[in-house]
Amino acid sequence: MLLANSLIGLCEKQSGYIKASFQRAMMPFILARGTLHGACFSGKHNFSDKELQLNQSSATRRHLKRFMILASSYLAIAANVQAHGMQPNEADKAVSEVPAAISAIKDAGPAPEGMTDLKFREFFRLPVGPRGLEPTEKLISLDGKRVRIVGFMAHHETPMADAFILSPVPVTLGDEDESLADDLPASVIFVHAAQPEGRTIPFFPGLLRLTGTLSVGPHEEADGHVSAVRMQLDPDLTRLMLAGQPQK
Amino acid sequence: MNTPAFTRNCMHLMISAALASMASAAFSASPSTLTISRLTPPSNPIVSGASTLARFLPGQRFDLQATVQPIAGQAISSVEFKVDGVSVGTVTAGATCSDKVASGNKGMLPATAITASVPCAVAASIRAYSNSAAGMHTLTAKATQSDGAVVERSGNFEVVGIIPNNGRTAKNIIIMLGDGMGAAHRTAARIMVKGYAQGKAQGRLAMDTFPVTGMVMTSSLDSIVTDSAPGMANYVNGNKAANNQEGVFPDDTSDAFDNPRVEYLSEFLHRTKGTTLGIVTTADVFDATPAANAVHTSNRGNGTGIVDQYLDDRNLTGLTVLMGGGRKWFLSNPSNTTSPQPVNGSQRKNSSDYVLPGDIVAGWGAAAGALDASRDLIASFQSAGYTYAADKTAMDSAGVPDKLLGLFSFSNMNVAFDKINARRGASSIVNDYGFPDQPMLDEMTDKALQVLNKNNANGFVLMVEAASIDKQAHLMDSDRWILETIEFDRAIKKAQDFASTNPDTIVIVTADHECAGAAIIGAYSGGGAAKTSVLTYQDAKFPKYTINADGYPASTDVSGKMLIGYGANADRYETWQSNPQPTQDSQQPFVGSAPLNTYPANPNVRNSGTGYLVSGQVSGEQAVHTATDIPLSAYGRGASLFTGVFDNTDVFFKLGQIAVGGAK
Ligand SMILES: [Zn+2]
Repeated sequence: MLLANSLIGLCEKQSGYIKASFQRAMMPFILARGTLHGACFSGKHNFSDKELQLNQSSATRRHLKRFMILASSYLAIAANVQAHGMQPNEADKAVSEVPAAISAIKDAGPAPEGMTDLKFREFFRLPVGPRGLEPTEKLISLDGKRVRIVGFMAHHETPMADAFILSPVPVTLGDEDESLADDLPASVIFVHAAQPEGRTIPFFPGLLRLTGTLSVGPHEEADGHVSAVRMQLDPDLTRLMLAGQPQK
Repeated sequence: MNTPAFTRNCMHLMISAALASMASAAFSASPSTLTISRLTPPSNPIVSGASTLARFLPGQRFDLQATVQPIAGQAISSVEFKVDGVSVGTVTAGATCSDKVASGNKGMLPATAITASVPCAVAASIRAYSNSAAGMHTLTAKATQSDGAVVERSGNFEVVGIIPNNGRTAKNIIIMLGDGMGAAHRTAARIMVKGYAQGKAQGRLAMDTFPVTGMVMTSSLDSIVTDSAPGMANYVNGNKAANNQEGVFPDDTSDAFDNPRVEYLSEFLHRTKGTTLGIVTTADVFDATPAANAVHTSNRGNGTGIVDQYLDDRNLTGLTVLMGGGRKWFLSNPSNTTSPQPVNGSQRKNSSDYVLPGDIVAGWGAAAGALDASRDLIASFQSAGYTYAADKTAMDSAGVPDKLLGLFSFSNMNVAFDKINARRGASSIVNDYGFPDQPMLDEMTDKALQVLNKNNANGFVLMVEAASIDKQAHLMDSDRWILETIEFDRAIKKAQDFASTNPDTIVIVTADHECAGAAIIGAYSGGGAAKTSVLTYQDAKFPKYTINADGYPASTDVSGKMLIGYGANADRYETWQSNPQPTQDSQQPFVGSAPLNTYPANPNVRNSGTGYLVSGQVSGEQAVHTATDIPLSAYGRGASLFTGVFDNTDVFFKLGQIAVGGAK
């Protein structure tokens, strides 16, 4: 609750657009998402990552409208997170501040030499194929290559050892397989620690930017689930996330 | 404290023993005398002489079942069923009460929904029973316990007679089902697409030109307000069902596919006359309304088993055309998990699949089924002779195949508002969903009629559902459900034209229930999102829309546009303008990724920055169904039977009369 209050406070200082009732509605979302919203809304969409943006526009009116659309979808996500049982105080168990090295709040600039930016919406071909979803040539071509991707760490009620799911939307994964079908998008990625150590990687809220080596194709995970796309996290990020400590 | 370990352990033992005996006392609820706690078909227990509950056509098949609860320590040894005092079979138990017994059409299963509290409770069945003698019949079950104790329970059912040689029979039956379509939905479509002046409609919808209209009462077995599963099923099997259940009566086992069955119209006419079956919907084909024409389950959510049963039991239903959305249920999923989804996006899982007990297989001639998430069901359909079309282009180029499977989207299809705007080049919504080339419902209906009429010696049953009248009314997206109703009326015109050239056809236009308590409250002043912009009575005048050559309004945002209110509403933000984006459908594969994740998730957040809050009476995020009677219009052979106020189950017996006994 302290976290939420301080964030709301921050928002009140920065935002001329958001009504108090709107902020109250945003609370569960802010709690669940932590520092993504440390930036708050300032009327301009200050999400640095293009993944979350629609078409660029300079007109202020369209800017505002777009912000409203974005905001309403976040509200919806917040409602969804609540509906699926994430209690506000669960955020307290999570890492309260995301290290700058994996936070996607700030624009990271172009990918360095030998690394490719991959977006969740680039996983599958559109239109959808007659026999279902098909991976894009880009996804297939990145098998075995180093990639950089932005997404949300899925909140596992029963965490996996040395691994977690990165998703384009915030999701909570219950123990019951049945509950997941409609919640987990098709385009998720299993992120594996650089070295298996049998340890649980703590939950990091908000948008993360991760780098590692991609592998594509069905693979049975240790817990019996079959993943389609995986990333072996870079060793320095693995250490950072396993430590789970705020980086000053 | 220095308590010896022995004493501590001993106390633990005593306490846990005490707790265990308390627990067993609390959880064991075996009756003090042998009891038949449920007798199926359900009877009307309230007043003798009241209208009977379970009714069947002469020869229509249904299951007899009794749930029997023995006293503690005993088991059931046999259950005999008698109709009008004459034995129709005795079901004998296995060696232990947890055995599943099947001998021909007789079976005994542990009543797994209650065995935790009543050990050895069983459900004994005689499958696929039928009775040809019109009138009331007494059903009696007599259960014998292993200690020799006996109990009997009686109920009744009615066989509704058919007047023989009562005129020409209808060879083809077309049911046009506007899900959620009440009187207001029809009126709104007429106002928009035909226009009114000086108090008179300037034209008629196709459904308005049907010569006979009646009013239908829509309640389900367990509520005055039905959902879509029993809402459809009771038109096509004559019996009330519980919500979530299709083609079955409730039971006391936890298996969703072993419930007592009732034969559908499609099955009855296929068995007795050799008809074929067509199912066309704008929803996911596993959805309640389409499934309640061919699939028997007590859980409308079991997608894998539902789509499998369409194909597996095609020899019971005569399934020839299946078109709609829902491709995700037809894709192989060897991993048998959807967390994460397999790379092809399949939603198949063994946990939503089916295997039938042997007595249903033997009694009904049904396929046993298999837990096969890995099944490539598109390939199975193709090898069974179905042509597969994945989009409108493929549907058009398929010509008139013998059998047709069309799966035009992953889940529910996009709505007419977004499909037509895409065809006009004015919207890319369908591209966002990944399915840019979806047919309109009238095009699907036209194709279905051609396929069904190709080898049509024995006639057909065709059900066409406009699913999203309901779905968009739940979302209180007025512009979208009005266009759904317009699209539906264009499909109705196709059916009407078919019946005009094939006069041995009956077409009924109906709904499973009303949705949202929709009402046309007036018109919009143009004055912005506020109550003061709602014009009522004479201020509403006559809203005027320009209709394009494609049959749909050029824009729904005309000056003085028609305004819709909702009597069964949840909270929503209202702007009185059309929503550029549809509200999110959580069953779509890309709903989590841009751009679909930027679409509004619910009416209570949609337009939250620009609209004003209209607070609803119901909690939750969507408007709900209502118990209001709905209009039913009929055209063709036997249409005259559909007048007055009648129950939804009556529709089945009218159709039976028209198809079997004929109508003047
Ligand atoms: Zn509905």
